[in-house]
Amino acid sequence: MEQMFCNVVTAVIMGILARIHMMRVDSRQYPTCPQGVLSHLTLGAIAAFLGSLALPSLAEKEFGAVTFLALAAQQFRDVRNMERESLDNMEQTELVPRGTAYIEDIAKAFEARNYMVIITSLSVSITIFIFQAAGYDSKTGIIGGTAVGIAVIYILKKALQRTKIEEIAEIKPARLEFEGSLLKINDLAIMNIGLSSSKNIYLNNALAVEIIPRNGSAAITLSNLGQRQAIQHNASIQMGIRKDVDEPDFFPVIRRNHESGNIVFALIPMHNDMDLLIKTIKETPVLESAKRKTGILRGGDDSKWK
Amino acid sequence: MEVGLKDQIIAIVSNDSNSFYAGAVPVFFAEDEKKKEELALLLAKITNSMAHRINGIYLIVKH
Repeated sequence: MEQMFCNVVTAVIMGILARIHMMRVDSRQYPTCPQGVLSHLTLGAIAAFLGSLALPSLAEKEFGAVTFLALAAQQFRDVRNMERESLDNMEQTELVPRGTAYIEDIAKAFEARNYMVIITSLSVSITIFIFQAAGYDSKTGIIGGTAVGIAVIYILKKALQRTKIEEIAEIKPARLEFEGSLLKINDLAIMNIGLSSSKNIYLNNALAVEIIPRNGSAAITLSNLGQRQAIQHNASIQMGIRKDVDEPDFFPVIRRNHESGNIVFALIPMHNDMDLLIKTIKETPVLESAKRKTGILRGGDDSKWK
Repeated sequence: MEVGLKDQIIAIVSNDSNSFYAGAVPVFFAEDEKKKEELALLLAKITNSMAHRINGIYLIVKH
């Protein structure tokens, strides 16, 4: 009984640590502190319990208890729904919306993190169980379990790490100019801005960049509207945007050069800092739902089209 | 649920009254360039829209 207790407690603690480790209030400003953090920690603790109890209940021949794992999977699908709904509801209050693809990606990440907790707890409890079965004392079992737990956390974190824009594209400052009332970035016509006051604000304050995909897959990925919206959203959060609800002129614009597949992006920030803008775009995650692989039918030739 | 017009020309600002016929879109006239732009700005602000300029006339478009 005492052995079982050691097993479950260690597994739960490792599971919760895994959740805390993945809980970062990062540049994407999510989850919010403190309410969001607390609710995710609590769900993480529940996941840790479920993971750690699976093996001991099997060992006690309590097969019914294992079906709780199925319940757990359902529960964590609900986590995804919860995240999706709350972000969807907030969408109307954002000056630059996240977009459904980005929301889906965030929701999926939260679901996956709970599974990561279950897997960590389960592997810790299996390890301790094996140590106990081999006749080692509880202390050795706990140390072995903790080591395996840390390894699992490390491996899963690496596996769940998302690609960033900088890995698939190069970002360069771009030239912004007007031809009559037509806004052009690197000679690509973007939109018609009628008012000269708006034009002046663009000429004096706007920052423009060109995002150059490294290969064919990257070009298709970047053409995804959800991916572009994620870039717009992240950039406007980090840079601050000089726009209010009644100023559609200053909505950040992101357009695709249909010849080369390059993306041009301009926004009017609160901080006029080109380096920060480039860094923000580089750090933007490549959305799982936007990721594409081309070239498979071309025998692995992933070069950009001419 | 919010219901409203989108991607629609809300109004036109021009100085040439001869080139317009009665239509679905209200047309505002102003004598000179400065007044035209002022009118376009005010209309854009009132309707939360954007002013575009084509051939010297302003189109107020809700996006």
